[in-house]
Amino acid sequence: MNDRTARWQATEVIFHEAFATEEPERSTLLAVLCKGDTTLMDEVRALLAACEAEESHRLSVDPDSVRAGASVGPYVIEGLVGRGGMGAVYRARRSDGQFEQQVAIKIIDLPLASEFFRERFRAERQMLAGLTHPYIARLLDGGITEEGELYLVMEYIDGACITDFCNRQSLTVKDRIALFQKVCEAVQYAHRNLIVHRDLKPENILVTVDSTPHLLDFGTAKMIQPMTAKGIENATRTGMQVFTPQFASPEQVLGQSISIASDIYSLGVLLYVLLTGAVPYQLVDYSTEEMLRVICHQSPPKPSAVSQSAERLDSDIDAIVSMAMRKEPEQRYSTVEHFSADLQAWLDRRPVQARRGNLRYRAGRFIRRNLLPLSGAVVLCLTSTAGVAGIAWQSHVAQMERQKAQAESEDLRQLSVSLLTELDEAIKQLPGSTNAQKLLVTRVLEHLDRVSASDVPDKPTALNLADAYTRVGNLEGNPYDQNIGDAAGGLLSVTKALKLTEHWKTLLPTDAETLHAFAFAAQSQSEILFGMDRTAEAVQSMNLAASAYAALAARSDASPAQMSDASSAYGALGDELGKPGKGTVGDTAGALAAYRTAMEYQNKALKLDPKWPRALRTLPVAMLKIGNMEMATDPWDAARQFQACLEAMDRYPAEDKGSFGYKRNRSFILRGLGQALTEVRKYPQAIAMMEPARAITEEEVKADAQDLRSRIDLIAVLDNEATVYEALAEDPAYKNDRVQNRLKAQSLLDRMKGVLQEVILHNPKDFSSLQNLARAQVRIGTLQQGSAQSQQGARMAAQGLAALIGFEKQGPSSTYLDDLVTISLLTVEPAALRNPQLAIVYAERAVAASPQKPGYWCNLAQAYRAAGSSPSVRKAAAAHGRSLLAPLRPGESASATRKALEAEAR
Amino acid sequence: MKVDRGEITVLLVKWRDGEPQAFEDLMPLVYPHLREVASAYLRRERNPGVMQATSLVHELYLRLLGENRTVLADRSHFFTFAAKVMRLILIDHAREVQALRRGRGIQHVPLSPDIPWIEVGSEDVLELNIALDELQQIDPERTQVVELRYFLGCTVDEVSQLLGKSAATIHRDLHFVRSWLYKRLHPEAIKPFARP
Repeated sequence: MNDRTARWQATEVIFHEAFATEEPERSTLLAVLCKGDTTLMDEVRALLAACEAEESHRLSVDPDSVRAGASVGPYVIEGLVGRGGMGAVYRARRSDGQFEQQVAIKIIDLPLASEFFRERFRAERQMLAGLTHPYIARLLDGGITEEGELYLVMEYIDGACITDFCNRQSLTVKDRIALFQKVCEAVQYAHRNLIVHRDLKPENILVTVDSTPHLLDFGTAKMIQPMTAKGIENATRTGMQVFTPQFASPEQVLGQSISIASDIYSLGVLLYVLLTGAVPYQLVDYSTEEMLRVICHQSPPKPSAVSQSAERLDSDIDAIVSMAMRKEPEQRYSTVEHFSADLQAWLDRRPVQARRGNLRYRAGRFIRRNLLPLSGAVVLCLTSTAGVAGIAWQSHVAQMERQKAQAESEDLRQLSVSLLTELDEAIKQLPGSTNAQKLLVTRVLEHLDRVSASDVPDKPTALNLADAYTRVGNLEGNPYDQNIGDAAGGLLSVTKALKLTEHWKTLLPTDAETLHAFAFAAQSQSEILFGMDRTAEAVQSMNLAASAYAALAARSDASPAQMSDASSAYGALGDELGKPGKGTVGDTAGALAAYRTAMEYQNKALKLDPKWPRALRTLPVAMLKIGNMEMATDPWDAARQFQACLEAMDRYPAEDKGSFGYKRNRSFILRGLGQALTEVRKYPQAIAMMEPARAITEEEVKADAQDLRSRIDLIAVLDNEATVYEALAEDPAYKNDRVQNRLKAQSLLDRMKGVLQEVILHNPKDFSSLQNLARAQVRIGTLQQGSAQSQQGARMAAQGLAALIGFEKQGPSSTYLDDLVTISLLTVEPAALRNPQLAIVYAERAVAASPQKPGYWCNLAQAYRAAGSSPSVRKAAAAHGRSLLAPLRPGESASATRKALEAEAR
Repeated sequence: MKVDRGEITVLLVKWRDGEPQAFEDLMPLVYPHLREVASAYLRRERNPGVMQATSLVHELYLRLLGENRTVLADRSHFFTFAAKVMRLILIDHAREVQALRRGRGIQHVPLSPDIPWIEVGSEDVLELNIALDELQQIDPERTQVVELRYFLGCTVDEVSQLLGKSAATIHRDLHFVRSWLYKRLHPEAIKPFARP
């Protein structure tokens, strides 16, 4: 630490101390703290003065200050009206005495405005100038200020935004639709002039007292015909969002081409908002990922289901809005006119186009036409659903509190259960704002804290409180639940729950209710800790939960649900124990034991109820986990697990067997079994598993031309199946079929290459596929040696090898890649391409990253041999690899890895 | 996006590990994208609640690094890096504005709501830069706080999460540094003290 830093730190400490005091204590304190160092004292005093001056300066700056009185061309600015997506809007008056006229001036609000934005601004001016329509705000003037800022002068509209207008005037549904149709008229006019608005939303539609709408802000408008201006063309390509997410169409979010259909979509959203008072989609963080998920894939709730109004919306309105808001542009109304005409049909009680073809519906419509008109009730329009829900919730809590005070005998169980059920519901339905969700959680916690502080709770109260704390804790931060991302808060809550239950568990160690509440809290605590990467503590809590659930499961009256509870705790314990990486236990043996216990409990559940769905569904998953874990060290047992897993899947309820998930899992298990059989050198049996696995996956690929996941699955099957034939070709026992086996491997690899190329075409940055492709080239090239295509094969192998090494150099590297590269460098043909020295580098790295894998030690030992390293190093590596293998049981032959390791250990 | 994600990841790791050249190498890869973020951010500043700068930077981070969740641990490094680049962008911008001898115009965009007395594009930004260079020598950690808060527009909570400190500490840090900066930029506002 240098002197300046030391002095700086001393200054800071004294500054904070002195800041907290007032004169005259401050002077005394300074004198004491500075110990006669007058320079230091002056410095602190100056900083305190600066602090005061800074504060008054800060408070004097109005964040929305405008240079009132500033002139822009012949106009004098009077005040700020608002700020929009493209610029700030000011109210101004013409100052040259020619004629008094109030105008709105829009000035580009981008301090970093690039040419691109200036170009758009000019385009807006040009486009607006061409539009004259009573419902579109008129452009009067435009230019460049003395300071070089761009500005537009528009007709000043003294109106309210359309949603506010409708609410203030308490318009009926019919009136709202009539007003909306005027907006449609304006948009239709713009479309006829080849202009798409692209940012239609309530803020851009002002309505004057005479119920005339005025469309503003053609800032993001774009000519339908391509314009030569470079900037405009970029607008569709760049990643910048120039739309309002809540009103943006899927094609806008996807960055695809924008057409009039996009405006029709936004009009649909606008109508939705006008009629229901709610926006169709709730966005939380506005990330591209979220927008894609929500806007492009979710269907919004029907307007009739959402509407808060006393005036009922019917299914025709639902149909019209949903037709306008279809995900596919071509499925929407073809023009704004059609959209508006369909609304007219609804107003006239004629059949609407959006539901054409539905006879029963037409009849219903006809009957209704002859009934009395609907009552003109007020549509309650909510400006912010989150706010209202939050307030409603708070008043609900307050009411609950009152009820409790009024009736002492009020059952707390009822209170908490009801409170929490509604909390769950509220959290799920709360739109966007995480803050609102946090507020609710805070309210409930305050309530719980108050109840638990009031007196020492009796058992039912304590257990209910614990249950509530645990549930709130999970909502706050359990990564396995829908949560609000506050792990620290969640941990605090579940720990409170644990404390409450621990007390009663000491008093009543065998009480079922207490044990259950305790176990629930402990498991939740563990899951939250695990999410925080505090794995060792997580394991501790999960052990507590597992033994409590086990105690419950050991009772004579235990139910299948209790068996499944115990199983799920042990399964989770296995996950926590087995997770490799930072700060974790990485205890493979412990994880395996936990998975096995989890399986036992599911089997016990099935003994009580052979159709118990929770067990039927989770049993194969547990076995699959065991099988995958054992594959490297104990392939014989892995094979047994997979076999049992297949049998368990056969017992699935018949209605599940047709599902995509079932078939996919089945092909995973078949492939896993095939891999284990390959490892124990049961090649024909392995092929018998790979072939049906491949058939299932090929079927999935065929079923959906777009499905990438099935293709990735297929690549894995082809890879593993080719490996079997490669092994067969090398095995002396199958010497006579060598050529055939090589050809078979080659054809599978060719197919794999084709699928890989397909996947890469879709995502050119998919590194794992690029790496697999390079490895496939090496394998194909190697297999072609000694055939007619030797030369071509040598080229391909060299190319693949170079690509693999390239990935190692450019990253991102991984142990998987290290393994591919090592094997390629050791086994590629022609042998001239091999490079054992380089193979050692990557093999050592793989071993360092995953020391528990015997296969990596085997690679390393083989690399040492090929490079001619000292035999003692090689033997040590091989011996270590062998020590990781599970001992052979009677009747089991050596696996491929074991054989290779034994050869290297000699 | 034509940027090679792998390259950015590698450079970020190098920069974190204290290789100064890595920062220079990263700049051209990231500068144009952050400039986009910068202008979007300044625009959003006027429309609070629409989209926060940090979510934009996070989005950019994911775009640049790909969806590889394993590197997410480096998120805070990316943010501190992005804050440094943002500082450069805003300094460059202020230099441009000053060189053109353009007036400040109608718009007043404060650099941060915390320090509304420094406006984007003003000479004060250049002064602030010089003061921060000095602060970097004395107290690099606080400089980081200032960059994240004032240049990248992170909230105090976000800064506290990124740097692993409590929000109260960040508030205290900013309180002190703000006074110090004000003293540097506005010496005229501070009356001399009579020594007792």
